[in-house]
Order: sequence, then C-alpha cells, then structure tokens
Amino acid sequence: MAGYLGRRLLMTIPILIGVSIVIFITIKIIPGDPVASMLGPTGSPEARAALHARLGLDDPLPVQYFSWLRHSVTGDFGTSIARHDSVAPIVFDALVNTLILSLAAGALAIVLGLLIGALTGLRRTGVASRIGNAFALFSISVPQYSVGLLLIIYLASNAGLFPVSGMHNPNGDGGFVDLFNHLILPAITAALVPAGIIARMFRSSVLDVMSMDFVEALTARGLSRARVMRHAFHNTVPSLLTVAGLQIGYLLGGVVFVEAVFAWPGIGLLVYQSITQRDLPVIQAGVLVSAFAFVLINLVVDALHGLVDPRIRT
Amino acid sequence: MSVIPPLEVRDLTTTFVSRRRRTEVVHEVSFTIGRGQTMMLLGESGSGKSVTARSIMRLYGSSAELGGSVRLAGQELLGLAEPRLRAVRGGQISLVPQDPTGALDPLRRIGSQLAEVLAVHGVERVKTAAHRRAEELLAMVGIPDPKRVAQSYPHELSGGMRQRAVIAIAVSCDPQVLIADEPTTALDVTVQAQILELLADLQQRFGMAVLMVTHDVGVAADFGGRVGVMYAGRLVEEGPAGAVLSAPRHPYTAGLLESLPAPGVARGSLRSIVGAPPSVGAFPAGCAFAPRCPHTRPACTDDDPPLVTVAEDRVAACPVVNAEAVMA
Amino acid sequence: MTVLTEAPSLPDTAAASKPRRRRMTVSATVAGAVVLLIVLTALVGPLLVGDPVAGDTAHRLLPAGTAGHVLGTDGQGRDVLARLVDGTRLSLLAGLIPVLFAALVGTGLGVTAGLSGKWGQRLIMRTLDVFYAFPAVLLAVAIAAALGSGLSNAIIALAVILVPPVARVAETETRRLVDLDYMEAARASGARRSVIALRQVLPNVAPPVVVYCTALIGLSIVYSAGLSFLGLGISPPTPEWGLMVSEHTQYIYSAPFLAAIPALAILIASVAFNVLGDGLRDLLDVRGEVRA
Repeated sequence: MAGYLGRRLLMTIPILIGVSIVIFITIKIIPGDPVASMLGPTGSPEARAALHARLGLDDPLPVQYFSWLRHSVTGDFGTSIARHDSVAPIVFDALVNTLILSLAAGALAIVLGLLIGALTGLRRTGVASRIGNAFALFSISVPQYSVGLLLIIYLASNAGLFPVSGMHNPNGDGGFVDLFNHLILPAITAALVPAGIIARMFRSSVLDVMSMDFVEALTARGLSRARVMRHAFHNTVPSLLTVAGLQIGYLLGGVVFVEAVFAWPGIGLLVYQSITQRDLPVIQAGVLVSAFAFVLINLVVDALHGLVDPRIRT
Repeated sequence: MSVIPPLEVRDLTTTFVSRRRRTEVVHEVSFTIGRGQTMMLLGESGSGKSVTARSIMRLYGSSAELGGSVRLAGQELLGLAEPRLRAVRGGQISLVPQDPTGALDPLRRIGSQLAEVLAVHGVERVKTAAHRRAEELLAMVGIPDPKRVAQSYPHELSGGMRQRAVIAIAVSCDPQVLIADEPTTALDVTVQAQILELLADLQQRFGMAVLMVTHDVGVAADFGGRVGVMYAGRLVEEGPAGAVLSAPRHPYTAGLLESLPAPGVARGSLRSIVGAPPSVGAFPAGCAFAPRCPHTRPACTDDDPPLVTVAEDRVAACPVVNAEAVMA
Repeated sequence: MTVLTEAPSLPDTAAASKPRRRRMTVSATVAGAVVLLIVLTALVGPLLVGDPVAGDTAHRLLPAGTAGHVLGTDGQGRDVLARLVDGTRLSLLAGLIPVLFAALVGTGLGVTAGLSGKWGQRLIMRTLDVFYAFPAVLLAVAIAAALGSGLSNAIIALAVILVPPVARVAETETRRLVDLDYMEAARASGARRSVIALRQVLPNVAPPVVVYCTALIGLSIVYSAGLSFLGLGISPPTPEWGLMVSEHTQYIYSAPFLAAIPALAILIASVAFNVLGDGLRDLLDVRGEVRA
C-alpha cells in the first residue's frame, strides 16, 4: 500500500508541473498588454517601460515562468489588478466557498446516484425503474444555468422558500442555518449532472457484478441472498469511488455556471468576474489553485481505491 | 438393497422463462449416483450438461422452471423451501465451477471466504476456530503454505492454487455430493491432471458422490465411473465409462470418440461430425441428432427415441444402431 | 431464490455462437429523428421564419400564442420563434465543431500513442494527463477568456478540453487491437506502421470513437451555450440559444417562461444526442460511458 501511494504521489509531480506550464502559456497568449490595463489610458510610455521592467516582463519566457512558479509555490500570487489586494487570500476564500458547494453537491449526487443506480440496476422493469432511467438521462443533459434559473423563479422568488442568491444574508448572523439555506438551491442544481452520471455508472456496475460468476458461486456455497448482495455491493465500491471522485473533481470547475447564476462567491464566479475585469493574476491563481485541488482530490480517491481494492495495490 | 443414494435425478427438465418466451434446455434427464461413485456428464457446448448440474442445485432461481425430481440423500430438492435449500447448498451438495477466478470474491481474503462458509453452515461459528479450520482445509487440498494463502487475495494466487481454494470451500462442510463443472478447463494443461487427482483423492477419503461435467472425452476416460452423454438437452447414452467409451451404442458418442486423434488424449471440437449442434431452444422434432447422423432413417425424425437398455447396466437412445448391434 | 433475476446467458457457448441480432431501440430511433429535425431546422429553418434581429419595441415581451408571434417576443420586441430557429444554426455548429475537431485530433493522437513504442506512448498520454488535471469547464472558461470572447474562440476552448478524453478512448482501443493476433500477423508480414494504422487500426477504432463523440455532442452543446451564457461566445444581437437564455434572464420575473424556451431547446438537443449515442453504443456493442 505504501509503495502504491508513493508511486501515485510521484506521478502527480510531473502533472502539476505540466499544469503550471499550461496556465502560464494560456495567460501569455492573452492579447493585449497587461501593463496597459494596469496603468490605464493615462500611463506614459516611460511609466509603462518602467513597470514592464519591474514586473520582469522583459525577461525571457522561461525566466518569467520560473519566477512566477517560485512565487506561486510559496503562496505569493501577486496583487489583484481590479481589487488592489493580495491575490492569495481572495483565491483561497473563493476556493473554500467552491469546496463547500462542490462537496455538498457531490454528497447529494452520490446519494441520489446510488439510489437510482441501485433501483434501475436491480429491477430492470417497472415504473420506478423507468422514472429512474429517465431522470439519469435527462439530468446529464440538463443545462445547469437553466435549472438554476427555474429554481430561482419558482422556489426562491415566487415561493420565497430560499434566498435568491449569495452565500450569506447580509443582515443575518452568518451562521450555519443561513449558509445552509443559501446552499440548498445551488447544491441541487450542481448535483444534477453528477447524479445522473453516477446513477448510470452505478447501474452498469450493479448489472456487471450481479452477472458475475461469483454471485452464482456464493449462492452455491449456501449464503443467504442478503449475504450474496453484501459481497456484490462490496464489489461495486471500487468503480463507485472512481466515478464519485471524478465527479467531485468535475464539480470544482463545473460549478462555474451555478456560481454565476446564484452569485455564489466561489472560484468559478471569481474567475468569471476577473475575466471581465482582465484581472490576470487572479485568473491565473484561480485556475492554478483549482487544478491543484482537483489533483489532490484525485490523489485521495486513488488512495481510498487502493484501500478498498487489493488488486490495484500491487 | 434399499440404500438411499446420495443423488437421484429423475426426469429433470429445465425451462428458462422470460417474459417473452420459454426455452426448454434440459429434457427429462435421469441418473443416480451412489456413495463414492462418479457420474460424468459428457457433451459439447450447449448440450445442457452445465444447466443440468446447476439445475440440481437450483441455481437459476425464478428464471428457470424445473420439472421432475432431484433427491439428495432421499430429500426432494425441487420445491424445498428457500431456508432449507440454503442449508443444503454448500453443506450437503456443493459446486466447483469452471473458472476459479470468477468463483471467488476478489475483494476478500481466501481464509475469510472459507471461514464465512464454515460459519454460515454452523460448522465453526467462533471466528478464530473458523480461521484455523480454514487453514487445515487449505492444507488438505494440497496447498503448501496454507497460512500465507489464507491471508492472500484471489489475484495473488495462481490459477491452480485458486482452484484448490475453491475446492477447499466446496468440501469444507463435508458434502455428500460434489458437482464439478469443467473444473480443469480454465487451467494450464500441467495443472489439470493435479486437480483431477485431488478431486479423486478427496472423493475417496470422504466417500462423496461426484457429478463432473466435461466436454473432454479424455477427462471422462481418466476419471472413470459412469458416463452420461448429453446432446441437445437429452441424455442419449449412459453406462460405465469404460464400456461406453470403448464400444459406444449411440452414433453421437461414436462421433465424439472418432473426433479424437487417439483415445484419451485430445480435447476440443468434434470435426468428424458434420454440421453443428442445434442451437438451444431450436431442437428439431424427433431425434435431435438425426440431421448430423450417418445412420439416419426416415423414422428418426418422427419420434423422440427413448433410452432403452442396450446391455447390462447401459442405456442408449438410438433404435437404429441398437437394431444393428443386435443383428451383428 | 431469486439471486439471478435475469434469465442468465446460457452457460454453454452455443447461444454465443449465434449472436443476438442487435437493433436500434425505439428511444434511440426517436432521438435520431429529433437530431435529424434539429439539423433540418438549422439548414432550412431560417428561410421559413421572419427576421430574428429586427425588433419592434412597441411589442416587447408579448406572451406566447400572440398572433404573428407563436412563442411571443423578447425584451426588445424580437420574435422568439425566429430567434430560436435561427439560433439553431450557431448553437448546433458551436456544439458540433469542437467534437469534430476533438474526434480528428484525439483519434490521431490516440492511435499514434497506441502504435508507438513505450516512450512515444508515454509522452503523448502523459501530456494529455496534464489537461485531465484541470477541472474541464473552468479550463474552457479560462481559455475562452484568454482568447477573448467570440464564437470561434469558444469553439477552440471547447475543442481543447474534449481532445484528451477522445484520445484516451482511441488509445485504449488501439492498444487492445495491437494485442490481438492479426496485428501480430500484419506486423510479421512486414507491413509499415502507417499502413497498419490506416488499414487495420482506424476502421476498428472508429466505431467506439464515433459512439463516444455522438454522446459528447450533447455535452458540447450544453457547454458552448454555457460559454455564450457567460458572455464568452457569440456576441449580440446574433441569436444563439445560450445567449438567449442569458438575455431572457433579465425578464425572469416579468416573463419567466421566456428563459425556459431556449433552455428547453438546449435540453432537447442534448438529450437527443445522448440517447442516440447510447443507442449506437448498444447497437455496435461498444463499452464505455461518457464521463464529463
């Protein structure tokens, strides 16, 4: 197990380096001079040149890259152009908010997906199973921004059951209940797609496992149906872990639409707003931090996978 | 002479049912296996031999309708209530499936799988005792390092070791009947003989009745006992292995033997018989073998020929060949 | 005893030797028809409806069913049906082109990786792994933002995030083929690698890739509309479904159904392609699930 984890950890290093290179290049191909937007139209050519030199923008690209990387690794993401503030706390606050939403949506998606997947996998006929299949199909095709809007119209605005947007009530105490109320609608919206994917995956996993020889072999050993099912479901856990991990990772970025609709102050909304403000340091750091979080989540999932499945440890 | 045989199968008929159709796969198969005796079910793929074996343990559940009678030491299994049936399965009658890889739970250690069976059948309820017994059983099936193997996961063992572990599970509760469904087909040639030897050895030690399913004439000849040749869901010939395999009384058995390069050696397909066996559920009227048979008479396609006694202790279902044999 | 609730595939192989005839399911056929309808709408629809851009501010936010405006008018008095039908063209293109691009590039990379030696294969696949390490949607948003808004940039951004999964499908399939005997035979007979790639591998890799990509189209339509919704795709006043959702959102309280109309169009198109993909998968007996 230790060896497996060690190898898995080693593999993430080149990936993280690759991620940083891709982000760096993406930012470099952005047309326009960042200095120009920093100084505004009034900046003189001399001032521009001075700032260029100070920011190291005249250095060769590799030098710029390593300098940026060195700062990023130590948590120094520079200063936000639009907010005139250090980028790191802005980005980490947003990441925490996104994680809250992603994990809530992920948990909801796993519960829903498991229920529907088990239902449709074990009983392939019947009304409930048909509804489950239809839900799984539609939910993966649904545009989240529209569902979010519909929920806002009917449950938040018309029925007044939930707050329309944001994460906390400005006049409230900012406590857990307040957060929870604000969380429900975005979490439901964000959970739809992963719930559908998990349901479909779990369904085929259940079908696979139930048709495996060992179900028959266990029955022939005289085990009760409940025991046989316990073995069978145990065997769906590895693939379930994989897909659930993927989906929570997907949510990290996938919530961008949901955050935009519900004004949820997460990474997605931050990056989106920074785009309109051409706030490059924030975009750069936002994407970098969420990619790191994504890689980290995958690492945890792989570790859990190794814990559950002896076959991949070796 | 009123000894109750461990396994007595009478007119066993298996029909798979789905919402759309019914498919009869096994038709009125009968045989009896005595204590310490062996019955080989020999046939090609699709002959219904595996289905017969699984039907005896009622492994198809509600997806198959079973007719006739299966008596395990005098107790009727068809119609037996589920809790009783569970106690019988793995207890008095157990199965060694073809592929040991598929028969083991890949996520559980061998020892814990053995201990689970022992606990379920009330042989060893205490955990530590069950694990100790598990190691003894592994040693009994010829596993050299039972402590280590008990702690191993299935994927850490070789195919032969896995099959030995499966056999250990099968014999753990001292069954009266052991069903082995092509127990060596998935294994390396070198390991096959060892596994067959192990089965024969265990049979002798515990006096189990063994029902072995095979498509391999060589295995049938080696293992001995009685042999039942199946074709298209029917038993077409049955008798002592030596007699049946040396002087077949059904053209299908004869074809099977002719397809071998040398008796008792080869395995595999039946190239000397023209055509292919009928597909499941599409058995022709009359004798199912008639379309491929070199002895076909017009009468063959009229009626399903019954099994008749053709010699002492032997039955076959071909009136044509038997008439010739009698005249010869 | 109902452990095996399904009729088990018969344990003997006779059943397998006579393969079950596979047919398109009813739902997949319907989905195919819907896809055809969408394509037709994109091709000839704009000829049948009025001007999608000309607005009449005197008739703003007319409800659906108004004479002359079947689906009503939007906030600038433009006919919603005309915009919806006209928008089909761009919405479909913005969904199709990234997938098409990803199919070509991804298959090329995947097959090359599958056929190259250890190092070539590692180089290609590990590089693609880097793109896997990004949350895909966020990456698309970032790329689209970096390139600047506009339809073509949104398309490029989507294409970039769709290439790695397609390449993975193609690589897996190629490697499976390479392990098969007839590839051995082809190589032993001295055929050149490029010839093997074209003659032996591509025809076999194509079906799973096509199936995978069909289902990706649904995803791609949703994403590209999403980019437009965020203002990163097509710019107004050109009609496009995602942009329409965004525009109609302003009137969400006065005319809630308005935003639902283009959203429904996106949903229907996406579902249709997904169901068609499922149907093709069953038909061609290809395994694998689209994972976003």
